[in-house]
Amino acid sequence: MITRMPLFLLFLILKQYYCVQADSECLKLDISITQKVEHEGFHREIRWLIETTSPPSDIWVASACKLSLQLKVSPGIYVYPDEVAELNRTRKLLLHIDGHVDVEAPAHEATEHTVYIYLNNSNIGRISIVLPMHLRYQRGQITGGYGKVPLRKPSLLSWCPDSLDRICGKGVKVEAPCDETATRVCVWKNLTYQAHFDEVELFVPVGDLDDYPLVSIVTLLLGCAGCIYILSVLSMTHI
Amino acid sequence: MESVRKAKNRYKQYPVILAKCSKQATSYATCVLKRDNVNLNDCVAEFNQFKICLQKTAKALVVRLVLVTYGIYHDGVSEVKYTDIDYKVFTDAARHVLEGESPYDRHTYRYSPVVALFLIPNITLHHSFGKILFSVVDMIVAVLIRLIVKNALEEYGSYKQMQQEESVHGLKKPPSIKHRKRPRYQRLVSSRSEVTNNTNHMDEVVNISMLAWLYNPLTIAIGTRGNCDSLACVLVLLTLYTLQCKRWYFISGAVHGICIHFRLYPVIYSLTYFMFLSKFAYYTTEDRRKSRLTTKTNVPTTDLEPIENILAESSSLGGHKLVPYAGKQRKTIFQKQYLLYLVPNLDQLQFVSGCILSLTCITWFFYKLYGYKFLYETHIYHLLRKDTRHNFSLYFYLQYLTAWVKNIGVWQKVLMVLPQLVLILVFSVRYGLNKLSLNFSILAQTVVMVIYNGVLTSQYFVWIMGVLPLCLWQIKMPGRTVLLLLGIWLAAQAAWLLPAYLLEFHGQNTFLFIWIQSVSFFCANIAVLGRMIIYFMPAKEKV
Repeated sequence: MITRMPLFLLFLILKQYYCVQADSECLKLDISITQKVEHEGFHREIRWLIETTSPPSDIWVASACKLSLQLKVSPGIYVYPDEVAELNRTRKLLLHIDGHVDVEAPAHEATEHTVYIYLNNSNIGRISIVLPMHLRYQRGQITGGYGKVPLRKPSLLSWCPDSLDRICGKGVKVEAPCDETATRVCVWKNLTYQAHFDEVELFVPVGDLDDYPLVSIVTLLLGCAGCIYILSVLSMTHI
Repeated sequence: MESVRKAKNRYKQYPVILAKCSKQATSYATCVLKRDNVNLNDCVAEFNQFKICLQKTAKALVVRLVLVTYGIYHDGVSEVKYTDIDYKVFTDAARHVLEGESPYDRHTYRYSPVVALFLIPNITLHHSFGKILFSVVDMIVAVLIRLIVKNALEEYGSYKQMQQEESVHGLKKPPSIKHRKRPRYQRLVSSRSEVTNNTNHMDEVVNISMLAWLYNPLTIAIGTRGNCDSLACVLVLLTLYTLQCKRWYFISGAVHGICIHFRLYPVIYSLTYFMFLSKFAYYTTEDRRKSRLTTKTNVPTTDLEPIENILAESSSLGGHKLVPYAGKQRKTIFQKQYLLYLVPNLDQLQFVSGCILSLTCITWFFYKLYGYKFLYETHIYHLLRKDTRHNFSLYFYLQYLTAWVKNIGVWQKVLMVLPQLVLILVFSVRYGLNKLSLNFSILAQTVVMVIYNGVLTSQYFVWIMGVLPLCLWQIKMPGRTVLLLLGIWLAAQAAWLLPAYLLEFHGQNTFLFIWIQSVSFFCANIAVLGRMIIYFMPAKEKV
């Protein structure tokens, strides 16, 4: 019993030391993200510039940790699964869409889906991403004008092979696919970052229900008038 | 650039080549037609020459192959893809089939599973296989156009001949087409010089019809972008070919069934085909009225006088048909005896049974294979389709505004469907009962269906382009009118593109303007259709 005491103490001390060292060695991520939405109309591109001041690339690569962006896409927008498959195939961007995307549904009938963008970890200093996305048609409304679609801020997730505490700071644990193939689910840590942008709203042209009386009368009458005209022409011929 | 120049030179020569080789084809056809029982070695020489001619004709394929190659290059370089989105859908569906899954696992695959089966080499061989296949199908369409137009011309020639004999020998009951198994054109024409004269003219017409398909920029572009609509065209033309030229009614019905399975729209032609096979079908309305009069025994002979006058009058006008009905003939929209048209005869029964048999077999087979999803995606979806995204259709904005509004009455839907239904029915009966205007009936119905459709994009015009060449020789439109109509039509389409572009790519609210442009485009389409009907005349003086 007595002989074992120093051993136990030593173990305690060592453990303490190790933990302290681990704490001091945790990677402190200093990340800032800039966002820009390009193009107008129904087909947009979100451009993100992700800049990391620390740690340097080599240490990050050695840690074998991974970063990803999680974007919850509101019902007014969709990311086209075909384009995603194409981007994955050409390795331009590694993406995974979580949830069913009905590309034909209008905004009010569509559901949300989540897009995970897996960031290339070799060049962590400066990552630039272009994500094509599309706006959905919205239900016609009185006075027409434009509908608003909020574009949410993405969340930055991190995952490390041994422990999530490898990266400093506290964060909510999030379950998400490990990579674009989405074969396994990993527990990721939600990180904070400096956002050099505001949450934006995108504008979508919306049909004007005030036009309805005019449109319905003219359209339907014209359809019938066309028919009557053709019939009258037909009655003049004698084939 | 060198290759481009070469291609251009070659391109310029095509009409010349085709014009050159058409003689051989005719001599072959003449040879076949001369004999009632064709033996294997009878027309070898003619056939060989025809074969060479066909090989030359197929050079139009080169243009398409060049474009396919260009497409590969373009897709590799540019962000805006040359290849159609649907082509990707086909390829993905083919991948699913190859892996033993259902092609309907691919989202938005809404075609017959046959397309996916055909395009399996897209994955195993090369991703451009399908485009080449569609280009080859374009060539088959051209050959079919050639055969059908030729047959129609010959039939028209024999009809004219009969009419002449009739006017010499006095008024007889015009023979209904049922008794004629083969066009009697060659046998009826007596003098040799007339034959060559007519055949030369015929070749010209046939070649123009074929070229109108082969070098139509729309069909070239759409085929090489990988759109499968030329497959639908080939099936429609095959139905027409077996029905008119070969008179294999059962086979024709079977092909029609396959056609309906492949694309739903040919279902509107069914009544026309049915009417075509009716024993009430004659060459012209005059014939029908004559026959009606002669069958009535109590009609005094004096009543026949005005009809003779009309015939003379119409031929002196060079076939212009804005001639009113003369005499006591009352025009009614519906007569009780029209119901007799619906009583099927043996030919019609053959056709209908062929159609039902093939359609049910295919549908049942694929239903067993892929289940309800197949039925929904290939057939039901196209019936219920409500595309609210902007397109050329007259009804686009109305459909969009009312898409998710609950208290819209049924009357709106009825008013949308009724005009086209009426027109299609009228065309089926009016032109279907006329032996010489079956092709025009198909054309007119296609036009009506396309311009009244709830969804209208430019690929729908391929359906029209496929059957238009069949009637080119019958629509005797002055060149200026053609240019004017073409100009109006293109201008209306271009005018639509501006607000649509602003909406799609600049996010400006131009819905109302798009609607105004759709309205004007619709008017342009109706004007074109109206003109085609006015200038359509099988009662022409010279073929």
